[in-house]
Amino acid sequence: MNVGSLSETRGERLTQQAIIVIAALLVIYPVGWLLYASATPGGKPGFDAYVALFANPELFRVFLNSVLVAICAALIALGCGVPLAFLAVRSDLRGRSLISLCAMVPLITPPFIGGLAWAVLGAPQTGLLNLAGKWLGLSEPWLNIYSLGGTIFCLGIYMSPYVYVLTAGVLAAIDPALEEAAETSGSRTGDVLRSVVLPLAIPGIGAAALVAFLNAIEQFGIPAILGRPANVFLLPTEIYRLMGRMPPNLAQAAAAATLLMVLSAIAIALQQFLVTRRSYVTVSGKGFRHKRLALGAWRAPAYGLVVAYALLAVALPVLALLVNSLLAAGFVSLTGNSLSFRHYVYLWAEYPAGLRSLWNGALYSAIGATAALILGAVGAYFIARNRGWFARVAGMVLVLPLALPGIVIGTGLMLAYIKPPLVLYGTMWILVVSYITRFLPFGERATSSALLQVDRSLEEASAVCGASWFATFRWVLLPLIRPALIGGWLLLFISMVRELGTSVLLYSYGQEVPAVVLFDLYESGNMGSMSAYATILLVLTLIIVVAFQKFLSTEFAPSN
Amino acid sequence: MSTVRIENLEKRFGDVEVLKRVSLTVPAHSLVTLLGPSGCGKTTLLRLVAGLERADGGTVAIGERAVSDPARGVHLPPAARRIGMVFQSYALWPHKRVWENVAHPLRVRKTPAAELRDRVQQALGVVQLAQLAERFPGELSGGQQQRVALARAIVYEPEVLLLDEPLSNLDAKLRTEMRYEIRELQQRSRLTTIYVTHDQEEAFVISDQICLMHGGVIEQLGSALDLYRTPRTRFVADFVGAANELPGTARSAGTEGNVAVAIADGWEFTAHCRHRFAAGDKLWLLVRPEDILLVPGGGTGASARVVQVTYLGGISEYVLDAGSFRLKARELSVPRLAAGDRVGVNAIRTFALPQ
Repeated sequence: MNVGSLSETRGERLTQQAIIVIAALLVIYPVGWLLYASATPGGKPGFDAYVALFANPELFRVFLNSVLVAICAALIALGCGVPLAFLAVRSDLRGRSLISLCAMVPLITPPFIGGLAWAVLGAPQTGLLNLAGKWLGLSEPWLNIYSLGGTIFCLGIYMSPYVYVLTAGVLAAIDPALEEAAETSGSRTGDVLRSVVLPLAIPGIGAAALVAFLNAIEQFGIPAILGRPANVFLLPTEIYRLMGRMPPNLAQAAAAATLLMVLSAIAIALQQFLVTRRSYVTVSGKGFRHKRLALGAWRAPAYGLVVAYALLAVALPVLALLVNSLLAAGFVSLTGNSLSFRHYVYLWAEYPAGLRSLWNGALYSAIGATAALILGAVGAYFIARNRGWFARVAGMVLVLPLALPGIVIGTGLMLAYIKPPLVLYGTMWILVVSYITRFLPFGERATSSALLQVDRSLEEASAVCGASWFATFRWVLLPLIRPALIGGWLLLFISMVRELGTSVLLYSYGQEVPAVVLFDLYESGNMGSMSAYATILLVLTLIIVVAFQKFLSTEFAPSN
Repeated sequence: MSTVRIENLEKRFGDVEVLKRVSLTVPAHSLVTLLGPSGCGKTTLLRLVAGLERADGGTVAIGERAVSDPARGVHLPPAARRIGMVFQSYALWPHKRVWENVAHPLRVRKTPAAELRDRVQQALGVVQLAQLAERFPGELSGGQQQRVALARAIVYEPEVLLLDEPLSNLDAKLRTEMRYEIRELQQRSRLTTIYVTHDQEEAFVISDQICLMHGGVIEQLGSALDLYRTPRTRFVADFVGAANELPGTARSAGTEGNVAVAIADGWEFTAHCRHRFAAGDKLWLLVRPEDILLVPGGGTGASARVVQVTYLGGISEYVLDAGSFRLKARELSVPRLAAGDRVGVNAIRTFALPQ
């Protein structure tokens, strides 16, 4: 039986349920269309499109490449993320607290912008790193970022923060008493790490690797920027190509999207299994004081790793974009450069979508973030306070978009909203709806993690005092979770402004958003303006991040 | 102030019957304790009275108002029940000052500002916290938080005060002090009060009546003296204080309140009882350790050998070997016997329960 918060009236309860149903439909409706389209190639029911995915050698190659690239990227992410996490949480490295900034990397250089920057750095002829090689006397370009290897490298670099954050969490949550018990039974430090810490952390690290795999396989930006010029197609870019053909091969695109969805779902299921079934580490919220490992001779390589990662993930890319944006030619030349603001001026005064896209991005994202937060928050509250099938199903549907890459959602939404009963294609609302759908789980998560910290008796106490459900919500719950909600909103907003996968499929003329403009400038080879636009975007994001830092980093702590 | 009437109250969580047709009346102005081990249903019963859970059957009435009667579709939300409640975790709102926490029940009732101020002040005065009104809960000690929770529960003069293990998060010394404070406050305010605890001593100090629960039913309702001296079941005898339980037989048909009992090794007693026993009935003989009188050196009647001596500070406890069974005895003195001594054994008072 549903018990819920007993001071709700019937109306309040029905409103909650109605909101959840709306959220669920947002997700289920396009997925339904996707499945339908994939199973009706040429208007007739059949599984030809699915058969082709495996029978057509070209498509099968795309599938294999996708999996291979995601696995390799996840391995690179493990290689960077796990040592960084260990150094930050368990070593005596000086300045280790700075490593935690690693978690902020996706906010500063999201994979898509990182990919653009690496195109500037590693293009065979004009790439800054190749010019540096020439200047040092190399006759041939030593790096070609437009390749399978370049795609893997870039994905790996930008998936590392996920591994870092999850691994650091696990390492910090291991009860030191377990390690002390091993020490008092005679183990030396090295043995303790090997026999206690590592086995305890392995399930968490495995889950982190799966998250990296998941994010790598659904990436559209990096493969589109670095893979396509070398004729390397992965599932997201292949779907984009199929949709962009004249006429578009909808059934094939939908089948490929379904395959991508299934791969993502498998990764999520495995990850959930590791976290819930195989994890010995319970995050208790207690702050543990761990003994720190003296690095000794390993200090130099440890610093090397930290500096190398900072250079590759943030410093070089940001610098490259900045430098490029300020050069008249739009790229560095060894024979001479002239500084100029012409690219900024061009974006401001001449490029029609320049200013418009910033305004569009802010508007759509503000609406989208607000809606996703409200839907997610109501859902999270309902799930946290109710048992029964409705809450369980709601819990599953609200996180389903995690298994839906942007390009998949884009495909599904296009199929769903291009014809009656709901024609949204061609209006701004299809973009807004796509953002809400894609980022619904973020809204749910922002609230549910905050709700977990609010003991239910705080609400009950208010109900017993005579307060209505709404009064309790406004007076007790909202103030307690407000910081988390603000943080969640900002995260949603930033993610939406930079969303490429869905936008690139769904925008129409006049509704350009920042990610689309960046992509267009890049596609048309206008690297100077692209760099300028990326720089503007970076600066705006940084301003938001710095201004609202306290909401983005810390949880609410009772005022003592 | 109102009487609370609970009749045939039922509650299930899934397949588990947590309360099995429980009936209990809490008279106006009195304090009734729900006592029992964890899982006995005492907290569930309290939450059903509060309206925080929905009953599956039976009725709850506060005064003349039926607040829960699922058969007729009646379930008043907690907000409408005019109750005050103290939670085990205190459930103080961490983002509000003490003053705001206590004022909340009045705010939601739209109490005029002047009256609100007076009553909050008064409630904080009662729990001696007037000077800490501007603090946040996180800045208070456990005992002070407890008092804030109490002030919040009584500030608007509810019809019933509900307390859910309010002292279990305090350290031992503070806990014993607060017992007396709560009792005094209740007697002064004459609030009808239901108090949940698993601590027998706490229940004894604080209650007019104790309702001992076990497995979703009420084992016995009565004063501390009733429960201790004339338990209705072995569970009650066991849960309340320590008891030697010895199997025995009724030697003859007993009278109202007395029966002659024979136990192993030919020991005989005249035991108090609530039942009428027939000759030959199997029964349990209960002997409280402090009701055993030890005669050093043996004496005339039954005798036993001392096996173990423990000094508990003020009290000495002896384990006695009587041949085919063992007994625990207590004396209010320093140990005057040693292991190996033989002692004569008399019982001042025993009690018989049917087997």
